[in-house]
Amino acid sequence: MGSASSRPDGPAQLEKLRAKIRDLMPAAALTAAPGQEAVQAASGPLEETGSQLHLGAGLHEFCPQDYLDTPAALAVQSGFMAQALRRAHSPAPLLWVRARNDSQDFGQPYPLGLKQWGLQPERIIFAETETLADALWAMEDGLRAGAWVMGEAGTSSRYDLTATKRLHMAAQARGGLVLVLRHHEMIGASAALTRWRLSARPSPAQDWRGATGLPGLGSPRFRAHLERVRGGPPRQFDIEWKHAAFHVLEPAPLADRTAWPHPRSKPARQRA
Amino acid sequence: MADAKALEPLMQTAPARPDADKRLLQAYARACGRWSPYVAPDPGPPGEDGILLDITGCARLFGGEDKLIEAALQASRERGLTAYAAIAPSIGLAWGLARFKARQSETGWVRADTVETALADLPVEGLRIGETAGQLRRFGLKRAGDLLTLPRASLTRRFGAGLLTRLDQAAGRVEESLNPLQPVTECRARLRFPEPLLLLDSLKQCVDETAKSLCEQLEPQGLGLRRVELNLYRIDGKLILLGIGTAAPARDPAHIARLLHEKLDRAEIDIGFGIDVVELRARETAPLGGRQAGLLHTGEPDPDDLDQLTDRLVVRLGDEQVRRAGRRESHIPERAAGWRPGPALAGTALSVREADQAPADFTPPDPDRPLLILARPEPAQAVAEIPDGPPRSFIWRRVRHLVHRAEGPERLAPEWWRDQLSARTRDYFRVETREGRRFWLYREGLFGLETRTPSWFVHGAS
Repeated sequence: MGSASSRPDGPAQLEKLRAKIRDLMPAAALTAAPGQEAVQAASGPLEETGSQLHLGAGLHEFCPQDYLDTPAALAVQSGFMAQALRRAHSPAPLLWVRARNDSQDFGQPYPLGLKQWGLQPERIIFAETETLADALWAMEDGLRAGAWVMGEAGTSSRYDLTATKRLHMAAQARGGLVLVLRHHEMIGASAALTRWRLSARPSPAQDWRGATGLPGLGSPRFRAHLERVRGGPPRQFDIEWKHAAFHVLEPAPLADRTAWPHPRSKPARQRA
Repeated sequence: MADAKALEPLMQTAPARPDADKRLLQAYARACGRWSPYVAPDPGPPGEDGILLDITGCARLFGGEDKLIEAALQASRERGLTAYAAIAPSIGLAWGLARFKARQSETGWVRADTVETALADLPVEGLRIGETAGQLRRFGLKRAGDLLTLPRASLTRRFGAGLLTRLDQAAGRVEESLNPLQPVTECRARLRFPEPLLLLDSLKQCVDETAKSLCEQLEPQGLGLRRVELNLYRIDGKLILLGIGTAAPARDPAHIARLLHEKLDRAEIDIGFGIDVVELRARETAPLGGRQAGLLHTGEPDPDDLDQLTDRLVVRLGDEQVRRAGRRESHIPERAAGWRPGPALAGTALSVREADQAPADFTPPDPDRPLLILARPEPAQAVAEIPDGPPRSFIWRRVRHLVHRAEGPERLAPEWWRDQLSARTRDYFRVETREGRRFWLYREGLFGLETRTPSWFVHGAS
């Protein structure tokens, strides 16, 4: 690389490489293939409109904070997918890929339960694979065919930088989304646009619909820690699933203000 | 047996295995598909060792009937089989000639140019009449020709109607058809090679070629492929059969070829000494009209793309692994909905909309259902009020959860029309733990009515 013989044409070579990269960039790919442009998801990795969050086209990862938060992470993943599908008005089917042996601990998605998270079961192609290699292949193939993809990475080390890059490129080329649920302890390198660390939060009590002696369940709430986002600092949100969309909750000290003014008390900094 | 051993001490014996014989015959009949598409083993009572071939129109491909039969006999002998053959205008005549006349000719095969002369000379045993042949011989009737001169009425009276039927079949006066081993398909494409193919890559090339010609055959008929069978004839007489199905009628050679390539890669076929005939058959076809391309690019994914995606997934992952949501009329959650493989696969969201079929209704019952459901409810230990209070805390998978919110009970009675005597009423609760995690639990058994100690199960999460 840095040998003396190649130094004279260094800048030229660099320029050539830059051009090559520009060609490979998704924006260029989109214009290059006129038959394939699709309704784009949000631009940029993450878009905030009002109190709502929207994911940009490409690969996003969802990580439970804890083993027991896995269903919550999957719920957030489903919610984001439903939100994006609705926003893009895309009739694309949803390919849901699971590798057997991995993260089946909490059972299978339940068609009647998906409605609650805004997904239409009849749109889903559910594929179960023996190995993660097959799952990755299915996910990529699905993206290339124009489907949007829900996937699970499990504990395999095959889900690495190369694999994620491929998924991300395939999704961006068609303006689709691929959301992957990762294992809570397996965090390796990845080319994802964002990585969320999720845990469940207690929902607001609804006294009027609870069982005997206990309040009822309110809209589900989650703490979403945006651990990684391309081109931005990590952040933290408290989000609530309401009316088939995620809403960012205001930090508690602001939201639960009472009319009584606390003299000279600054709102407590949000815990990180 | 003892006498025979005494005469010939070196005699080898082996138990008769009719099943194995039949299997071999079946397998060899399949392999004979290289000579003609209409092949059937002849397992009927008179003679269980024959293979019938309808070579109408096939002889040209091999340079005449003589060449074909010689090649077929040669192939059989190379495989260590003793074989005789005959070509005749009727099945009955060919049966008799191959068994009685072909043995006497030095080439091992005969050909009946005219029915009359061949039949006149045929021994009566060659008429597929079993015992009756012995009776005929006692009357001095040794040739089929002798029978033809006798009055038919007296023959029927003396020997039964079966004899005349067989005689007429041999003479071609009564229709007789063979029941081909492989269903008749109008469309097929095949490639034959003088030298066997040994490499998978060259096989794939053949698949490309045959797929192209098959699709060209289908196009003028407005048909698409639903099921395709790839037959690979191994040079040593084995037949390798690979099948694929498609989610929607397809006529894109590249797509068909791609599916078959995938199948070839996965099947780990044993090419052995090589493959000399590659044949692609359309097992099932369905009407496929042209599809109008959209004038504007609306950004909708091409329905063809998605059908092809399903096909690829099915071929690579297996039929059972690619599923769609299914709904059943039931209140028991695990029966009510699930993921099912099968025909519903053909209806992707788009196809359903196009075909205007009523899709399954996935409107959940009034109370919410969890996102994830366990294949088998798992027992939990719960603390709850008697008789039907919600759980206050429960231990599941050795973790203790404190319940802070709960909704329920949703009481689901067992379905009495199903024969499950042990089934008990379930009270479902949606609960949220102190941390905000959501679970779906149920109590099995009504306190006091069905049981004294209701048990708890976790059935879903979130």
